[in-house]
Amino acid sequence: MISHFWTDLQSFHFLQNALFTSVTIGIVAGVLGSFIILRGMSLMGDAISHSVLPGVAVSFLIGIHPVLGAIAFGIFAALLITTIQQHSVIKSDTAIGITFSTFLALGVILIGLVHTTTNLFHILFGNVLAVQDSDMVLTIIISLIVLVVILLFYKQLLLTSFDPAAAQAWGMNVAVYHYLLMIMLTLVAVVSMQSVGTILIVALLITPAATAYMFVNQLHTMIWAAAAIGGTVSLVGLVLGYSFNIAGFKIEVQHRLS
Amino acid sequence: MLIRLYELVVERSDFIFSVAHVSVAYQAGQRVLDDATFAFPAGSINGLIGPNGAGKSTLLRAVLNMIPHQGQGYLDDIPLAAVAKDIAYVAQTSRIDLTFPITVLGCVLLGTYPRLALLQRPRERERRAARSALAEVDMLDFQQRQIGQLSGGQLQRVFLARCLVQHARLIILDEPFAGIDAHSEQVMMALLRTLAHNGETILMVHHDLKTVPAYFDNVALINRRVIAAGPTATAFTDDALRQAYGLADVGGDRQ
Repeated sequence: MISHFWTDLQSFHFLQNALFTSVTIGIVAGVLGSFIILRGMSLMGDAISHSVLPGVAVSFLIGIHPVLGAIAFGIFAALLITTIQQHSVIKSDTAIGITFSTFLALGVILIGLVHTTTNLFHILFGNVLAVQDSDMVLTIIISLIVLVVILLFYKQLLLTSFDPAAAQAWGMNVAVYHYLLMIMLTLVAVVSMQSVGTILIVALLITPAATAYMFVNQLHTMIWAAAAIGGTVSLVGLVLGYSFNIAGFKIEVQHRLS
Repeated sequence: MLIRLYELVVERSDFIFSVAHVSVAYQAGQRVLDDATFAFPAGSINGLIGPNGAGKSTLLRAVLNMIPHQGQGYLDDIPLAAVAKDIAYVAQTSRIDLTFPITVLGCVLLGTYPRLALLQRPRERERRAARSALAEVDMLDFQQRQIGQLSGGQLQRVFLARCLVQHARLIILDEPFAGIDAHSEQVMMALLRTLAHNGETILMVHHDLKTVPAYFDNVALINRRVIAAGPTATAFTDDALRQAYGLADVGGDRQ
């Protein structure tokens, strides 16, 4: 049954797109997720990926590329959470809970109002077999940008994650790297909307990195392991989903072929 | 006020490390640290002494510009913010994430970061420096261990090695001897004395009052404000201790 996947992969362009896109996202989410879980920001990852939803709706309304609106709302949510934390007695987890549920609700309402062809279900859970060439290219470009930025600033990200007090004492602006990670998180959440969905990207951000975290004693090993695990589970998920017709795969395939 | 400022200027020309009029208020009107001013000469080991909640860690974080504050610290008339890369700082180890995936060697290598350019990575030269610093604190055999596998004393020695590779002029340690073994404490004190002899200035929060006269050239006794500061022989008096700790605690609570 699984052998069908490989024969179909050679004949169907949409399946090739699905494969490249999901494996790319699995890899980049593993790398970024390593920093997210080490900084205790897993919930923040959840919050940001949910918060991009109203950004997508607003982008449709005013006619700009969804990535732009999503980034704006992602950063806005990150700023809002930090501000609530710093200027009230409310703790971080509560600030995150309030912010992301509000943004998610706002997003659902706005998408209902916009009447686009975009299906809400597809934004929330992704529709990996409907990934267009342009989506795939955007995913690969943004993933490359994120990986290069992490490579360039690896030293600073390591230091501010492990010992932010020393980083501050040495005159580094720790907040810059916090928001750099928030921006990259938003970017990954947005490009994964089509293939993984805004709800489930968190699984790819956290689980591979957390798995790697159990077995390593160096950050760069953790990152490589998380990337490998993320890429592999994306591949396995796609093969199994396609082969066993899980969650509407068959319907989608028939729709694509007709 | 004018006279005090004048005194401070005179002091600063003689002293290398000074703290001038540092105040911290966590909430408006509620000062946890009021107008702390003192100065210590270069090449000395200095203790910051006071009861729990006296504002010792707060004072360190204020002079390191990590929290909002008034006043500032100076190194040779230059505000500490301008010479941040010349300052080594080790926070209380209870604030460190011991499960972080970093080895002993990796942790010491962080001390080379302030001297590296923005996109420059530590190379073999930095690695060699880190290994020789680890040898000095007698921790070279542990270089590939994850930091969570160390005892409290071993961990403090590793952080001291990080200060060594940084070649800092001012070393600030927040309770380095809290709950560590006697051997580690001796190794660290011996190294700190060598560093001070070579001209580096050390400021550390310290709790064990019994060892103060033996360890420190100068002390600052604080409790929300500076009670006494200066050479240990003249500043570390029973009278000053009584003021800092309150009458009942002195003698009985020399931990």
